[in-house]
Amino acid sequence: MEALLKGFANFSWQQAVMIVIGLALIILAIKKEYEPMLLLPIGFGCLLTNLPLAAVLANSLGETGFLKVLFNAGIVTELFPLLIFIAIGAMIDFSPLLKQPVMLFFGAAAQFGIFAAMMLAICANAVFPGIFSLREAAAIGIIGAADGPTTIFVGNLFAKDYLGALSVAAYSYMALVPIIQPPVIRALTTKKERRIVMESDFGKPIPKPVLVAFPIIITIVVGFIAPDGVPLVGALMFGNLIRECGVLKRLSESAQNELANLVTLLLGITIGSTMTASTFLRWDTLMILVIGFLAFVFDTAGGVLFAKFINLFLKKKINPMIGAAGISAFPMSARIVHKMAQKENPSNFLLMPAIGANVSGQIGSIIAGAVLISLLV
Amino acid sequence: MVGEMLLQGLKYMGIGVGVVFSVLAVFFVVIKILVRIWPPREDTKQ
Repeated sequence: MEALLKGFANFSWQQAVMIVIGLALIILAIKKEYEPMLLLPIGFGCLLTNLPLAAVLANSLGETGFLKVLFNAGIVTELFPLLIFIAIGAMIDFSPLLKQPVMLFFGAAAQFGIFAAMMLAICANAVFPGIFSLREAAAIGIIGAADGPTTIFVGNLFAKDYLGALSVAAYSYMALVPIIQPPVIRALTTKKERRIVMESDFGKPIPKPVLVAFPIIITIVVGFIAPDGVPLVGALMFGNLIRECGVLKRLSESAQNELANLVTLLLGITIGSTMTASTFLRWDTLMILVIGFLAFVFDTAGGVLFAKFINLFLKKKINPMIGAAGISAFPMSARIVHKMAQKENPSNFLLMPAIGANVSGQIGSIIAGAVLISLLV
Repeated sequence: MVGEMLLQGLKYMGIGVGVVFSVLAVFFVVIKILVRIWPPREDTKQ
């Protein structure tokens, strides 16, 4: 009889709270469609890991549970985020960036949130002494990369205990980009600035040799300048090379569909399994969620203010909203900027330059992650 | 202790922002060179 009741005997209120959080993520994914591909598996992983005795992590015989096996195989080894990067690379078309390479600088400026959030996490030590180490602060800052795989990659190196909170923050705020970014953009720009029309020649296609050479050369350059970023950039560019080479259509489609879907599924549920009550129900987790939110605000502000700064020196002004698209949340951020521009001036089409800034943000966030790894490992 | 961390954080922030801009500036030059070698053309298939 005791054996049958052991589930009830090994259940705490903290686990109940975590199950409610897991269910909330599932509801957000299904009802609100907030990043459902990730929040649903994360929510269910959270539910599984907080059931009595957590057999998904280790069963009563002491054998390793399946989610722990997946964690050791895919997260500890950094394999899942890298496989996701291959899939993302296969999905990205760098043409808008190659047509307007100046957009790269917006991808750099919008990484400001990473470092600002890192500083905030460090400052938190003044109020709660010893709450975050420098490495943990860097892992919290990387939420501002607005890029799930980079967050998981860096978080796994610097703050394993916070991996669940970091991932949930990154993916939730990415889903909330349409709510977070517009007020920040509006607060930092005038109506006149938002109405600036940007013209660009998007009629001429980028020749295939450029599309093929770009991922190869970028990988080599990163290998010399930021060697710690090679796994991330290399995986992204490998996926892109498969896409652009033109002779690996099947592999490109597999990377974009089967690989992306399978790894996303495993990644989500595995990350969810790190959300145990003991690692999640803490004041520092709440602080991570708040700082993560501010990281997105700082990212947006960094990009917009940089665009305004550049405009001081340009005769032909850039619409400063483009700066906000420099975050890595692809393609939501570009769409938001385009929609806002259309609202101000229906004849203004900012989608292509915004996409250019957005893919630059993808590269910029990886480089920022690589820099933090180089500095703190 | 916090002051020390803050200084170190500021240092990493400076290096981080600087390196991200520098690396992307190198990519900018790479793209410019690539586009100069193979300039965009009208799609000949049309």
